[in-house]
Parts: sequence; C-alpha cells; structure tokens
Amino acid sequence: MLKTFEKIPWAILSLSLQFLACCAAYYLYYIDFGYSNGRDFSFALSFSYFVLAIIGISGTFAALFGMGYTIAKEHLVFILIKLPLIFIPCLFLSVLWLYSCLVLLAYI
Amino acid sequence: MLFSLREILSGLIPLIFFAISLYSVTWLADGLSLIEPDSDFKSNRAVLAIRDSVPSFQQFGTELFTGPYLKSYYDKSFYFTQKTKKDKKEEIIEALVSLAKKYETVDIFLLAHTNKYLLWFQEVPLELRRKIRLVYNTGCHNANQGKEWLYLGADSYIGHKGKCSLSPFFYVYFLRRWVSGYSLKAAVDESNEKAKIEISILDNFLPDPGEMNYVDQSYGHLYGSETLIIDKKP
Repeated sequence: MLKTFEKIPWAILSLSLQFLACCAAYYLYYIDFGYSNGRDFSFALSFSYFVLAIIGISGTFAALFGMGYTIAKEHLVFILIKLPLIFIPCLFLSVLWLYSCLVLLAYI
Repeated sequence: MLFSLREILSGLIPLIFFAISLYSVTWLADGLSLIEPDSDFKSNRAVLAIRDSVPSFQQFGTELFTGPYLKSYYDKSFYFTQKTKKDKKEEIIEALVSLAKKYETVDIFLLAHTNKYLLWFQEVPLELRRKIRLVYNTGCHNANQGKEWLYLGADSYIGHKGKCSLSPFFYVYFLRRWVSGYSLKAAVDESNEKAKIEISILDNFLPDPGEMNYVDQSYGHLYGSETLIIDKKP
C-alpha cells in the first residue's frame, strides 16, 4: 500500500487535474450548447457540474496527499519548490472547483 | 516517540492549508454566517417550492441546495418536483390551500424556467391568497408578473427581466440572506451586488446576450413591500 502510494507522481497528478479543468472550460466555451434555449443551457451546466465535482474532489485529495508525502519524504529544497508552486495553488483551485460545483448545484 | 516531528508536520500542514483554502474560497464567495431561526416566528410560517421539469440530475441539485434551508427556517415546507409542465398541478394548489389555512403566512419559491404558475393560484380563494407573503421566481422574463402577483394577494414579488437570466447567481445569495433575517430590500440589493460581480467576470466568456447585458438580465427586481423580513409580516 505504502509502496503504491510512493509511486504515485502527486505533483504531476495535481497539475494534470488542473489542466483537465482548463480543457473542460475550453470545451464548454467553444462548444455551442444552444444557449438561446434555457433548457439546453441547463444541460451544459450539468456537464460542468460533473467535471467540477470530479476535478474538485480528486484534485483536493491529490494536493493533500502530495503535500503530506513531500513534507514527510523529500528534501527541503523540493518542499520549498513544490509546496508554493504546485500543491498550494492546486489545493486552492480544487477547493474553488468544489465550491463552484456547489453553487451550480443550486440550480441544476 | 510514536511519530517524528516531520511526520506530524506532514499531516498537519496539508490540513492547515486545506482549512485556509476552504475559508478563503467561502469568504471570497459569500462570507455570510447563518442565524438560528426564532421558533415563535417560525411556527407561523410555511413555504411552497416548485422545481420544473428538467433532467432529474438538475432537479436533485436544486433540492439539495434549497430543501435544507426551507426545512430549517419554515414550520412546514412542501417541495414539488415536476415531471412535465403541468405535472402535480392539483397537488400544488391543494398544498397552497392547506398551508394558507393553517399558517399566517406562506412564501412561494418558483425554481423554474419561464413559467405561469400565477394562473394556477388564481383558483385559490382570495382570503387564502392574501396569506401569500413572498413570491420568488427564478424564471427568465418573469419580472413582468410582479404587479399580477401583488394583485393576486402576495405582499412581495421578486423576478428577473432577462430572457436569458442567470438567476442562480442571484438566488444562491438571496435565499441565504432571506433566511438569515435580512429585510427583503437589503437581501435583494446585496444579492444583486454579489451576482453582478460574478456575472461580470463570466460576461466575456458567454455568448452575445443581445440588447440587455447579462447583469441587467439577471437583476432581481423587487415588487411590493421592501421591509418584509422572514420573522414577521410587513
């Protein structure tokens, strides 16, 4: 279990999930969901809800585990680089996606 | 020693940053602390909410957000989710009648796309319609029902003018402020301000709104009493 945990590239995983969020936003923006029709727009929102929920939850866990693993196992230099540049921004963004997901829940 | 300092920090620091992130995001979005409902006032009021026919996943989401507030802040709440446009019409009218007979005031939340529920409630006797206090309608282009709802018996009505109104941006803030004891005008004004900030950010990424920009389309318009608060009549 611990060996599997150590093999996971947490920093890459965290960044990839945020990249996925960018791709989803790009996809949502450029695909025409038929905004002139309110109901079609709601379908578009439900898509973004799924994406935000998945990225929010998995991104939060990846950033938390990654941060913990880096502090526990890696050299101080890596801690000072990875935490402020990767894990803290990714954690904040993931929480933001989760919150956005809850806001969308209000209507969809 | 069971754990080394480094191991303790590896567990503690992520949790601290998680708490900071959570606090920052909720504070940035809406730093409102909810209040406990006053049980004396609460026992005099009831609420009716209707969600229209949209995909079930969306209906679930609306109920997930709205349901707990209505159950906590009203003595009795009826929440209807429709499967078709005229689904549950009889039950909804019956629910309003039974609530109006039992309680001093009844609030109505119409969580639906452009709608004409107004016509349904015309069947309710006038003395019971006068028990209707607040009507909030998320429907696009439904602000024009304001005068009609007041004529029907409601004390206040809130609606949106735009045909592509982004009403949820207003609604999520409004519901929380309304149940927290804000006066209706204060709740509407503050929710409009909050919604304006968020919609302005999104404005550039949304399709051309036409003549009226999204902020104006989504603006919550208040008709009737402005001093209404959840705990008493105007």
